[in-house]
Amino acid sequence: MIIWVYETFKYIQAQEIQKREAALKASFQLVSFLTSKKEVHMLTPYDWIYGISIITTVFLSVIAGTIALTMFEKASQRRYLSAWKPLIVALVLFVVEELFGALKVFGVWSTPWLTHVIPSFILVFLIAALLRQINITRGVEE
Amino acid sequence: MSLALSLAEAAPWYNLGLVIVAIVLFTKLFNTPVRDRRVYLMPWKILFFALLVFIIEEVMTVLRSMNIINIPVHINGFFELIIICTFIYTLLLQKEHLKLSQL
Repeated sequence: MIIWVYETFKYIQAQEIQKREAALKASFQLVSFLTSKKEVHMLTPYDWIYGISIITTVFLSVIAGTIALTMFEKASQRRYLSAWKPLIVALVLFVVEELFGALKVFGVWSTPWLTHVIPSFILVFLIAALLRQINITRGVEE
Repeated sequence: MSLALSLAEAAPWYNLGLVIVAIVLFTKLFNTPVRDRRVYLMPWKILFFALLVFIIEEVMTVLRSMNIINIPVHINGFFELIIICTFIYTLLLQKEHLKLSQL
């Protein structure tokens, strides 16, 4: 009986020690985290303005993309608006580029397609739209 | 080198060619006599302005990378803002014209 009481007491004591050690370790980690010298990169006013302008551009791009997509149906129905179809595709690609550009500026994700390849597709669609619009203006498409 | 990287290497040159073609086509469009009175060219003129802003931005980027000018990169954000505002105005103008022509 005495041995059993002694063993139980020892067991409880060991658990108490373990708990104290864990608490001590956690508090030590907290203290070291709070007192450690972190490298903080201070943003300049230029960075703030650049970031705000990028976020604004992304927001407006989404609005432009939405308006463009709502116009797509009307452009498909009317022949004299058919030049707007490739133009709307170009606009949507521009929106995609702006989104990717924002991700690149904020250091989230970057792709080599972004810098020049997407603008090439935008220009190709713009040229297609211009050719069609010239034909419509001349009355060839009727 | 991946396909995207190789395209990105050659892209500035053929982009330059495409921009020149686009400018030529815009001038041709504005000089073409309008036969169909439903055609509304004002949005295309505004779009041309956006293209010119885009060209200025690209030229500045190239000159900056060659260390010829020292204008900070932050100004690009404003160029993009101008371009996107112009696009929105273009789309709204065309929508307005569509609405008016339906009346």
